[in-house]
Amino acid sequence: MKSRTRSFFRNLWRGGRIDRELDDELRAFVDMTVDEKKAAGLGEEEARRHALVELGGLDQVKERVRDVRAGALVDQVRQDLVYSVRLLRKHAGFTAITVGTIALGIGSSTAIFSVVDTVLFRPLPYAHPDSLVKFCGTGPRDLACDDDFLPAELERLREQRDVFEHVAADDGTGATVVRPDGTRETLGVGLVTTNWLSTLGVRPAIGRDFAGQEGQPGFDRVVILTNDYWRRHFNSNTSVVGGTLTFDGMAHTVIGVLPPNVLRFYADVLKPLVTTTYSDNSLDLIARLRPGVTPARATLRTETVGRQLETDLPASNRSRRLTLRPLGKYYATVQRKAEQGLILMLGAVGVVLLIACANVANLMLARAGARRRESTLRAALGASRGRLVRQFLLESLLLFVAGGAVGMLVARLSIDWLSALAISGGYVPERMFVATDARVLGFSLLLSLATGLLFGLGPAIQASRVDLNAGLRESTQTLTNDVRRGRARRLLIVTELALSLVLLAGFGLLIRSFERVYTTSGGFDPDNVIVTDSDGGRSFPEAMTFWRAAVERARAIPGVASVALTSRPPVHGARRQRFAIDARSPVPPDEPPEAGDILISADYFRTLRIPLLKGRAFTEADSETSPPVAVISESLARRYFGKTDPIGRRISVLEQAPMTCCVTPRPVEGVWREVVGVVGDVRQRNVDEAPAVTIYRPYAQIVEHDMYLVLRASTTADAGRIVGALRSQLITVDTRRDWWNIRAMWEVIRESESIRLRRFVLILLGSFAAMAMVLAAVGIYGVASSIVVERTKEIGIRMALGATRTVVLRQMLREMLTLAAGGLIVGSAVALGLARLIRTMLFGVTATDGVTYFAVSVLLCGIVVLATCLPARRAMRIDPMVALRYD
Amino acid sequence: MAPRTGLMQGTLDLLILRALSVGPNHGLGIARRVQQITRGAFEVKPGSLFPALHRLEEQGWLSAEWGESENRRRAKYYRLTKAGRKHIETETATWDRIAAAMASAIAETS
Repeated sequence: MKSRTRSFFRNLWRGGRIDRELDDELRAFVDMTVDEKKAAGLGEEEARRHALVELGGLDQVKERVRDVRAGALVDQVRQDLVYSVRLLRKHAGFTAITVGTIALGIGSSTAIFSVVDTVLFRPLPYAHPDSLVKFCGTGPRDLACDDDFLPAELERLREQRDVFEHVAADDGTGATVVRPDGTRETLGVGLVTTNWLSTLGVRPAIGRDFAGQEGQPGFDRVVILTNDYWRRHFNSNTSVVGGTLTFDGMAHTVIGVLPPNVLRFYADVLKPLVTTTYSDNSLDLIARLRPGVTPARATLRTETVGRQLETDLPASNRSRRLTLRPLGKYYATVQRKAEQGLILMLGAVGVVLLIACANVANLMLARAGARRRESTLRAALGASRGRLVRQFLLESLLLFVAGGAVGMLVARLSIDWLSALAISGGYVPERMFVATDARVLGFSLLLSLATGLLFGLGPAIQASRVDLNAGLRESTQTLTNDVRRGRARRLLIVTELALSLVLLAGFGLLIRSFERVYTTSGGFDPDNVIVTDSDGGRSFPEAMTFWRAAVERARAIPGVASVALTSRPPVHGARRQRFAIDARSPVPPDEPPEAGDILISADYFRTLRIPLLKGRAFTEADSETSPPVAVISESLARRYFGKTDPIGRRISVLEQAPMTCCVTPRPVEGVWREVVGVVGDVRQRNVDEAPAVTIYRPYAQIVEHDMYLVLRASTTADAGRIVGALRSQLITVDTRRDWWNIRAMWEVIRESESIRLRRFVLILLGSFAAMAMVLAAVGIYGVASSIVVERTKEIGIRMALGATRTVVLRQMLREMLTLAAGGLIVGSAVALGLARLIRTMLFGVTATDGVTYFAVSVLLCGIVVLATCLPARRAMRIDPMVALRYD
Repeated sequence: MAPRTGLMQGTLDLLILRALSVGPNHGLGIARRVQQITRGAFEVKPGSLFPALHRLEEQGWLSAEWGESENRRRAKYYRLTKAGRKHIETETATWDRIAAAMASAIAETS
């Protein structure tokens, strides 16, 4: 008895808030019963016993109440769900089209999202990325991060132990791997200090990190593979750890494999950086702040160190200010170029998704019309408005979730293709792996649910809006609902057309730009031109001999029209160098003039067909022993000599001092050269960039060991043949020297940054625009069809009254084209507004390019006409008698 | 009469609604009033009463709020909603028809 009372009270305190309320209610019941019994004369104990007996099993009562409470909603939802599934299965055609449309939208969104997410949104894959910083030297004017440091500077920063917990350095280099079949392959080697990974807080996925002594000379024959290299070359085989990898003729022990997506620079393997023997000057420095050290304090300390270095190591620090940046922010800046394209793609795919959703909403509205009788019947049988909305909403959620699931499949299938495309376009660092993981899955699910709710609610409310009297009568007369529904559907069509136009216009503008970029000469003639490069050797006489022999050998190849040498062919960029102009120059003193510095042989301009505008080109007579000369580009002449004649004036390129260990070479005054000629501007880096001012110098007067051989073939057929056989012919010049990158100039242009960046955007935007067009066509077809059905009677009457089929068709077309016009006007306005966003990607066309907008509008109108004519033909075949009897 | 022995759900619902038509009441009060208006014919056990109350509330015919009883005890008070009042009318009509039909059926056979 006592225990029962106790268990009663114990049970009272179990369960959630609703349960507690129920407990309170029941306790009140018991208490009141007790009061009642006591009033009837029973003692406290006796009264309570009676009361509990009367209640009859507290748990049973609670259980039954809970069933009633929870059961109601769950039951209804379950019923609705079963009903929805049954309906969707019954209308398999509708379901398939809808699910397919949604899958297309959500699948492409998910695929793009996973790429963008990998590159832009994910936090750096390092432990506590907020306390990681990167050291930068900034020049007096530019804000770019100059990250070329010396081992001595690394040591100096490492001494600041109270501020920096770790300071680490890295540099990239290349190595050659000889395959078993004798082919050579370049291996990207990341040189990192042994504490580099631990500074970032990255642990190898397999194996171990570098040990401290592996940074000592002679102990550095160990490598850690990047995840990507491991996957591609070792099939993700874990037994590779402990094995050896031979490159540059040396065997290295593989001690570990990195997790994916750790590196933000190109490398296949990591190798310890031996600071004591490092003789270059291009270390990237990073550090982890000690806990509690604020970025402001760290910056202050860094600047103090920088000032000390200005006196201690003036060669490399005089002209720069040492500072630091949060690592995350630094990478964000580096990615900015890719960011614009990627965000654009995200926007474009969002538009496709919108169109897909509009189509689905359209389909559902059409179905809501067809289901009017069903809704009315259910309402008459007592279903509440809320219940009806819930039912329709559940259906659309089901559709969207199913579409999302299929969409995931679409994304999964397209993601490899997409990431390969993104990598080739330079949007995703080559070593990054685009994954479909829980994050992407979550995005897809959220997107499905959100779009399902958003685009399901309207049609659901529409469908549940029933008029019991009108709805039950089998009547095809136009009801207010139909009018409202029709208006909504027409609005959706206008929206779809507008959105399609935006995508198509963007695509049109970009493809016109692409065409211009592609056909722009860039100041030279790339047809039949072949380039290749080699290393001629460090010493001047050795290199001269080699290059002279190489030119002779190349000239002898049948089909070669002319041959030249250069330090950098067009589209390969150019080293920028400071220069000075003789006393009469109008150069502002605070702005040291800079120009691209290119060394060339006598036939260079002729070989590349760069026009000589004034004076003369170099000849074989311009040699080591003859007076120093230079040729300048048109833009340099205009900018620095104005209207005066530059021929005969003197110019001096500030030379790099020869490299020695631990001292950064700085420009020193070079020899004064007489300007002997002016040539046309050449787009030296990207064909869509403004031409840079350039100074050409004869290679015979200042030879470099690394040069390019440029050949012009007589015919295209010759060019193709020469590319294939060139290496075997040139290798005979000096078998110790190899020839690299033998490519047709067109190939170089195709793979240049500007073309690659554009190609990615174009291919994707083209695909999206095509999808948008197909979806819009389907949508218009659907609306036109339903108009025909809705108007069967009207058309019948009109035809009975003598309207010809052409009149009927014309009327349909007029109606749809009016919608199209609305869509095109709205779309053009939006597109013009948005074109600003892609202005930097336009080349040779303006954002308001009339031709593009006209062409795109004509195309869309064509689609509208086509999508209208098919159902309209059905309308024309309507037999007036049948139509009138239809009711 | 025990609820298990055939007090139809609809009957209990109607009785509860009827009991509340004179004013809001708590669980025990409703049970006692049902007893009263049926002249002691139906004794409603908590095991039927509370699930019925919650079901009626779920259906929107009753609303509930916490109040204080005459003995100064906190209790949950149920009140008829507008829909509930309307429901009594239709239910009463239905019940009248059934009762009349039953009565005539019984009169016929006996």
